[in-house]
Amino acid sequence: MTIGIDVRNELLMILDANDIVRLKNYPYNDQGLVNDEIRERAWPILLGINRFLDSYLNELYKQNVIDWMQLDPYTFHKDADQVQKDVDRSFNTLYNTSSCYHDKGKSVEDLKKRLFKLIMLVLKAIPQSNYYQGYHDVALMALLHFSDDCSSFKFLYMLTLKYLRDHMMSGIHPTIVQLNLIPDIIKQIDFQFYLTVQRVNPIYALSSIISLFTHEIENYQDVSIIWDSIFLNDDPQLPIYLYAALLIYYKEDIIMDLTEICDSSGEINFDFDVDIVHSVLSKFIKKNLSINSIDSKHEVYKIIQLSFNLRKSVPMSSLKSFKHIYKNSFLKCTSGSLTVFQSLADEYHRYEMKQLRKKKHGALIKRNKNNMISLLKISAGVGILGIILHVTFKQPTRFGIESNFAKAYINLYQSIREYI
Amino acid sequence: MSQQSLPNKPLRSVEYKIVLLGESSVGKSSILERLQNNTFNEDKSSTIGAAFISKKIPINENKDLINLQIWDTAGQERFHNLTPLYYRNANCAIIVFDLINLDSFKKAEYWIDQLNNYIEEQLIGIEIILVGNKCDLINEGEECSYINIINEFISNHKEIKRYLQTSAKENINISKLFQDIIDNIDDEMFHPIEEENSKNLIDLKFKKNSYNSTSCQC
Ligand SMILES: Nc1nc2c(ncn2[C@@H]2O[C@H](COP(=O)(O)OP(=O)(O)OP(=O)(O)O)[C@@H](O)[C@H]2O)c(=O)[nH]1
Ligand SMILES: [Mg+2]
Repeated sequence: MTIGIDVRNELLMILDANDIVRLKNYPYNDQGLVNDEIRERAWPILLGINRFLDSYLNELYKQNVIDWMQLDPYTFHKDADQVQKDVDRSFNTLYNTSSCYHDKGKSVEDLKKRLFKLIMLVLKAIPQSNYYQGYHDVALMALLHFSDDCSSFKFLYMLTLKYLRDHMMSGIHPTIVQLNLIPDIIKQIDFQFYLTVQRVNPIYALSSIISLFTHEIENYQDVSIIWDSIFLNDDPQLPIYLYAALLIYYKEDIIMDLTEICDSSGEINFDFDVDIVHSVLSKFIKKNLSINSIDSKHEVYKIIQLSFNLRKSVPMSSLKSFKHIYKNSFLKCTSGSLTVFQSLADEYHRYEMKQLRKKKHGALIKRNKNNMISLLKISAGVGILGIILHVTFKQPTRFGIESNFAKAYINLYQSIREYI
Repeated sequence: MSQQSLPNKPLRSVEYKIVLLGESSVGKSSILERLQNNTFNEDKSSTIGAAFISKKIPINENKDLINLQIWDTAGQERFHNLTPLYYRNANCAIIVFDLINLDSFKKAEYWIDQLNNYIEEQLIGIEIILVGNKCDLINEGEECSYINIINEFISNHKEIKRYLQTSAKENINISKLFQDIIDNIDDEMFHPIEEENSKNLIDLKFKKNSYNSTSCQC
């Protein structure tokens, strides 16, 4: 435990000296940033909130608070309704396991109001941002880690721009393409396991990735240590590697669960039912890192180490699915500015337009196909008619009716030409 | 699990897949918590992506075993593109709305449309059950304020097999909801347990081929 005290003292010294370079290069250890007191000071610095940005964000906060007090929430931001629904359901395990030293004695009702306001202010501060379920858990971490609401705002604002912007587009596609990296990483490390994992769409990782693990890992301390590792490395790619590391770390358990459910004969059989694979994969984190697990801190540390190794041995740029990641995604462009956010929004908009055109095109092809079929039918009909007429014309004209037939035939032919 | 605690081994079993659809916060997860643990939790967290539960239910004096496999989906609209992944293999869809929120009923209509399209395209059968939840919030002796809209909709949609008003909170009609489903499982779906292992293998192979891991529609 002396190490803990040493690390703590050293970090405090670095923070007191405002030695940003040394903080950013601080080697990762099994304590992370040790405690919430240090986190409150270190996290904003690690996210790049310098003096200039800090005063800008203070102003922005003040301005938005004035708007907030004047408008009703639904005018303030379009997603107010969904935010409210989730805030009402936010205070469970994460909150219950938090040390929450700022908020001792404060009522949950009061915290709910502050959480609602925090989320709404950040959404408003980032034009074109869209709220998603899961963001409320991220915001709760921000609320609990800072002693005043303005600091929570500044932190969450930067976190959103730098680490979450892909998930805040008007649709979910930029997030989905990220998830495909996970099986790709596994493929490079453990092909046999990959064969099981690749059977299902990696949607099982959605909740962990978009909530930065807050929705899946139930222990506030464990999540804090994971966040330390991400921020100390200043690496928005790390969450993907962390997820892959979790899969590999708990592989035995996952396989065991799968065999237990799928195969009562006890034989190892990798041919599992897809729904079962999906469900086991979407549950294994909660199951293994629950609030009841003994020494989860130690496991989390090993998982973080594993994620560092994965990142070193399997660079994202070497993966096939990396091509599909948006140019302005936080995985490709680490700068967390409003400009990049807007560029990503534009990029996503172009994708949406393309999809829409494809859809229309698809519908058009379908329609044309139907038209072609009717055209073929008509031509066949005309052809037969032609043969009949041909035969008729060869006969001596009896009632003078044939010439009318011929006229009709020519009209029909012309109208088909026009149609084409 | 329940298998072991009972004296006789069941002779036949069936896997029956259910999906819950409906707007955020109508009580889908709460209904499932009632089914699973018979509890209600005011602070239950929202569902992201989807959640899965399974429950084994012995019937016919333990001669038959029903294995319910249930997908609980996320209500927020941005996750809708993912939902086909969950109703793809479903035998039954429970569409939930909130009896005191008309908007949530509009969402239920949307889901029924989606399912109808899917059923038409794939030529499969999915049993559709409509559930109005939170009936505890309607005062005694009164009706849901938009009961006429509901009734009209149901009479125009013959594909809705059943309609129930439930309360996950007060435990009203939840067991009836699932009992009705169980009672209506087609006897032909059951298969003998002795053959289960060999049969499973065939089923799984078939599923593997019919499954396409890039089939997400987003
Ligand atoms: N009064 C009342 N409240 C209910 C009932 N069922 C659920 N609730 C409450 O409604 C809220 C939403 O319930 P959930 O079960 O989380 O809703 P959901 O449909 O799963 O929502 P998403 O996961 O966001 O899609 C919770 O606060 C529940 O406590 C009910 O029968 N009566
Ligand atoms: Mg839910």
